[in-house]
Amino acid sequence: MPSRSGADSRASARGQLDTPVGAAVATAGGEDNGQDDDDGEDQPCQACGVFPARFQCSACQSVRYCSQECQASDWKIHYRECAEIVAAQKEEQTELQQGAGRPRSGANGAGQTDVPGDRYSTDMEMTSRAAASLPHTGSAGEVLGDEGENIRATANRPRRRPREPVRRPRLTPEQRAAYAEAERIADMKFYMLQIYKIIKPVVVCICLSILWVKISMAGSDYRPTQSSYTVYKESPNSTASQNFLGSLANAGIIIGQIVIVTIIIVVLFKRGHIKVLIGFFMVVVAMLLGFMGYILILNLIQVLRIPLDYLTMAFALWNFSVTGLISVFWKGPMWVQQMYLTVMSSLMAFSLTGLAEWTTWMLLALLVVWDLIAVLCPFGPLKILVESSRNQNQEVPALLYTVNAVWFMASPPDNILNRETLRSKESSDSEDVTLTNDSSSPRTDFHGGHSRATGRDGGASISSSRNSGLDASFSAHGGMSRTSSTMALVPNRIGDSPTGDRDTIELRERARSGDSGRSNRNHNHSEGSPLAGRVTRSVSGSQGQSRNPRRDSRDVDDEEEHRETSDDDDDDDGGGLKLGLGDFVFYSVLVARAAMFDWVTTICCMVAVLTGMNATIFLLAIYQKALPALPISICFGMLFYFATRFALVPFLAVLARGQVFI
Amino acid sequence: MTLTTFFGCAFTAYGPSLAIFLGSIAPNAQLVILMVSSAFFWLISVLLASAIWYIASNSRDTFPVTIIYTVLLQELFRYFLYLLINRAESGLNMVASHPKSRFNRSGYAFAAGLGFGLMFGIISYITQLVNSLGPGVIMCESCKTVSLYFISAITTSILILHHCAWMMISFTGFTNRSWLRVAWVVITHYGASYLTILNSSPTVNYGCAYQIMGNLVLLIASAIIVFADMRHLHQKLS
Repeated sequence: MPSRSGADSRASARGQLDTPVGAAVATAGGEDNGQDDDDGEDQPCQACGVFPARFQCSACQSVRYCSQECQASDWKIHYRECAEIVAAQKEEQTELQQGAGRPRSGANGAGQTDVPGDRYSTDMEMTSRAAASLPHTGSAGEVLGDEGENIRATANRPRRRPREPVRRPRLTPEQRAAYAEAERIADMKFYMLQIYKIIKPVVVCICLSILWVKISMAGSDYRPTQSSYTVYKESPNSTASQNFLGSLANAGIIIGQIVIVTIIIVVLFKRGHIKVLIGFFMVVVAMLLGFMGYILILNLIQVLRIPLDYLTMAFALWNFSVTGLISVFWKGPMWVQQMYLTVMSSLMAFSLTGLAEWTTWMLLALLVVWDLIAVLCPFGPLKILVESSRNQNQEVPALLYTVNAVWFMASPPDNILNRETLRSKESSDSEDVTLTNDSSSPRTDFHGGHSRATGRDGGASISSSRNSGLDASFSAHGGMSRTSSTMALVPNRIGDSPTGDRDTIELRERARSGDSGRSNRNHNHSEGSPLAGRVTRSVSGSQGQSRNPRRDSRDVDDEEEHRETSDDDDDDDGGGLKLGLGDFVFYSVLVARAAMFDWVTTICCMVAVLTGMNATIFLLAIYQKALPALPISICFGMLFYFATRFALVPFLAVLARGQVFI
Repeated sequence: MTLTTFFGCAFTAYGPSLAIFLGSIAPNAQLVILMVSSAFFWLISVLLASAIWYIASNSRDTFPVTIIYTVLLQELFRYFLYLLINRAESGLNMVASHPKSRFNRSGYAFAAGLGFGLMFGIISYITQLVNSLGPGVIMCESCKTVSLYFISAITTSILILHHCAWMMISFTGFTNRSWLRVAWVVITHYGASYLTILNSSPTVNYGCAYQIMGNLVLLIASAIIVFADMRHLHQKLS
């Protein structure tokens, strides 16, 4: 293993750079890996406190860890002091070189950078070298006073500028706790912004569905109708119990199809037949955009009396569908993809409004149950999917709506670009270097979108997902989209990324290939790139052990898909919340069905669904694991629909007649 | 009278409040979420009121009685919303853009009030608004020369703004235990609602005009109280 002085000189070299290359990450691979500290026996691991702590942070070399997982989990607190330590070291060196510490520089010699390192050692005992650094620690006392201010200000400070170095001897446990608190605050701010960002597309999808429903209800011949396999046709003369049982049978058939398709997807994924999934999804999306789009256009033409010939319509429809396929499954601007996902969800919901009324409500109720089972129970398909995805270190391709930045991914497995482009956010404390050299290269921009929209026959939900980390071999990544609408909201944990900068692009190393996960990682390691640390983190994250709740992975658990997005550093914010398209679809189905009755029910159900979504995301922030997004919203929505329909609407009618405002 | 009436009434009813929303609340994620939650609370209160109305089938057409329990339920849920925001306040302040500002609570009250108001406005007026798209017109009972839609639009817009003011006054009242303010809110809410009965009264000529003027006076009075409270808050420690 490299000697300590060697490492130190490397570190000092790095320290002298303004932005050390990925130095914040304790590299798991490469030359810095496995550094044994020669006094590691007397320093505990920073994160868990065990002896011996054989690793150390390669940037500042002042904290020790027992394993890479501990280093990863401590990073979110340590990065602050790390940057400052490094900056202080740098200042120290320049100061020493300027002659103030001339006599001592000779003494420190190769270990010049050990001095600050010792000073910042978390071990209470000072090493022998630290004795020489006593004059430095003397100056530390005066800055302790404003430490508290510093800490509190951390959360609210815009995370753009590198922090000015503050001389601190070390972080006391109280300070670490304060930093953890600031971390938590930043996390909450992130969640809040995520809620806001995800409300918008949900509202757009719902409004589009309402629009389609209102138009088609205005007397068109092309309204979507119940598909032929439903066994029971509701008619006005049937009794309530007949309706109940018949609709239960109908809904049961649809749910059965959803369950079967989900299980098939899980099985296919576990076996690794990703391309089959992707191919299927592509077919489904093409059919959805093509045929449902066609029906919708016919509706519009008839109701709005648009003069349009078949040729123009075919041309426009073809372009629309192909653009959708391209933007969802291949590359495209993010807003185009988001728009297509939203439109697809609204089309799917529009087609599902062809179901009869009782059947729709029964279907929604059964979906709630299915969602809860599939995501939360140990034997649920989605949970199995998540676990198998973790075990295989492979992302589950699925359909998801992402609110955040585009992720540029590592390219083909043979020469994986392990570049990490971190946005230099303030939180990084200037640790992260933005390597933008390849960020513009198109090959690093990968979206894997696999949409799987089982048609009306399956009552399945469509989901399209964007894969954040695809290898080229995965370019057509099979999206595993679960048909079931239940989507698990997966928390996207970001470190302390600022809430504002979501749309920056980061290159993240995503060396994930389903078949050769390990080899990629090894490849990454051999490159000794700064991303190695990320790999470590993602490995540790994906293995699900010592998962850093904040930082490591954002598990997007859409019931349909599970994708691990490893977020690595604090600067990550490429994640963001991910919502499965199935959830979009079934929210829209509920509100569209309410729209078939009255405007008041529409508004009430929309508010109920949005509040349910807020509550779900709030729970997500608390529990930090994948949650089903349908139950709360659908329960609120159904409750409000029936209460509004039977009580509120007549009440308001009477009041309106008298022009009385309550 | 179709599109003209529709757009005119829509902008009259929702214009001021939507402008306020887009200007001050929409950019702030926290306030938007708060607004949606408070709309939810108002909706629950009105659903309960309509359940009571449904059950009390004998008094279905008597407005004064209906108003009694409806307004009471709304005020009750205003209090519950206050309790909720109180409990969540430390968390809300943590993620606010100015955690230590003493106007944070007023901001939350304002957003909550707008939530109540917008939900009220949409639920009360949307059916009439959509009806105005059709070719027919209904005239107001007490002012026979104005269409019902327009009078309702004006009333809606005044009452939405009034809801914002009520929420802010009541929050100040609950915080400082100033029961006078709480009483003011309850009384003016009853007053505003009872005034709207004038809209359809066949006996009072120009009843709708009186109603509008009365509601405007109440709104201005509430606004004066709000501004006085804010100024007091501003001057308190500075």
